[in-house]
Amino acid sequence: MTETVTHTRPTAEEAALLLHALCEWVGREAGVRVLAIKGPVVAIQGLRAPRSSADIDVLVHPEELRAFADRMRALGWYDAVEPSGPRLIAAHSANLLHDHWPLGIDVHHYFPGFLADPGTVFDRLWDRRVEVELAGVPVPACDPVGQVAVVALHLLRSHPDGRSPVLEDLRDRTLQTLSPAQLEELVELAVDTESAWPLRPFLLELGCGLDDPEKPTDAAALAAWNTATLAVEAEGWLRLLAEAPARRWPRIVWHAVMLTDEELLAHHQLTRDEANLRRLRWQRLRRGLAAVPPAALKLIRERRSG
Amino acid sequence: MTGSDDAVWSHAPDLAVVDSPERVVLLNLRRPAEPARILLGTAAEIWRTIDGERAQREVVERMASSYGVGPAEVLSDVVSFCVDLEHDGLLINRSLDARGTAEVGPSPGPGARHG
Repeated sequence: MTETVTHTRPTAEEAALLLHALCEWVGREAGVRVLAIKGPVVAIQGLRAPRSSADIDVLVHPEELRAFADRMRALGWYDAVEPSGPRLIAAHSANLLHDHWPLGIDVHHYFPGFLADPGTVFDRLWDRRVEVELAGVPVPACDPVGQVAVVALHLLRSHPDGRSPVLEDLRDRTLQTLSPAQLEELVELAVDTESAWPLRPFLLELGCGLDDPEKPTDAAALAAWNTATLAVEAEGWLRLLAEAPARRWPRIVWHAVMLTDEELLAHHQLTRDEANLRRLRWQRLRRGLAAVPPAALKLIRERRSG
Repeated sequence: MTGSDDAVWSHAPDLAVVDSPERVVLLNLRRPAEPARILLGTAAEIWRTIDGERAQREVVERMASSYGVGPAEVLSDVVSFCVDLEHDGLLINRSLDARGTAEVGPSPGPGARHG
């Protein structure tokens, strides 16, 4: 009469809730503060419509990342295949996978766009935390103010001018959810975490922008943010080429087109198969060739303008 | 098979539970390396009927009533389900606790909550 299943995995929606509870438990066991960011908490806080994603996101203090990730690895979690191409934004998370689970866990040790010291940023967000019940377990999560900053920075990476339907949706929901006092706290948080410049387009949309936000202490970090958010497709590879001696160009171009088998298959979530690999490389070559002219033009203009 | 008519089953502490109309998904946080357990149909119903107060006899009667059969027809299924989940640390037989041999009550978890 009874039917239980252990060979089927939970759905993505179920897994997201359970994995946040798991991270909270494991974090507490390892003495690590684990803060739930993005994901189902955002929907619970009314800042976005519910939807499933490919992973859950948690933020830990940079000094506590190793302890947490090692504990997760001891439980059978393993690192996803790392992208081998050039990065315009420095690695900011460990992406962990497990065969029992349909979702990965992105363990962030900093969040791009917060340009202050990552430990300071974590402490500021942790101090503001709230407990949200996920799968029946109270989980420490970013409060709505911190969450708006995190989600806005995430979206601004793809839409740096602040204009996109997803950012408009976040703006509308933020104005419905946050009180005027909380909007002021959002600006204060942006200043404290040196994210006022990256967040500026969104803050202006909210009507609470700073006229002339203070530049981040780390000017290089702001420059890197601007480069990454304004990048066009294939720009990372062209920048790598531009910085490398000519003798290394053939190797870089070869790698840009071919990548590694593991990376290609993992990115497309396909099993190892020669036909799959040939097809993916052909698609990649076509897309790359189409992307090179606009990227090259952008770099040339950038160099001419100094 | 254990579990007398007077046995009182309760959900174990330290579970993460997602209960939807179609099924119940359980993760035993004390065994975090184990996969989630998915309960479908009558298994999910038995899980929901167990509340830490009802004796096993009452759980059997409720299940029999909801399926329009006699208690004898569902007894062994209910008992084997409960014993199976007890084995996986998902249910606790509280009548054993009365004799001082089972672990009950909320757990403080792996450590004090973060201050």
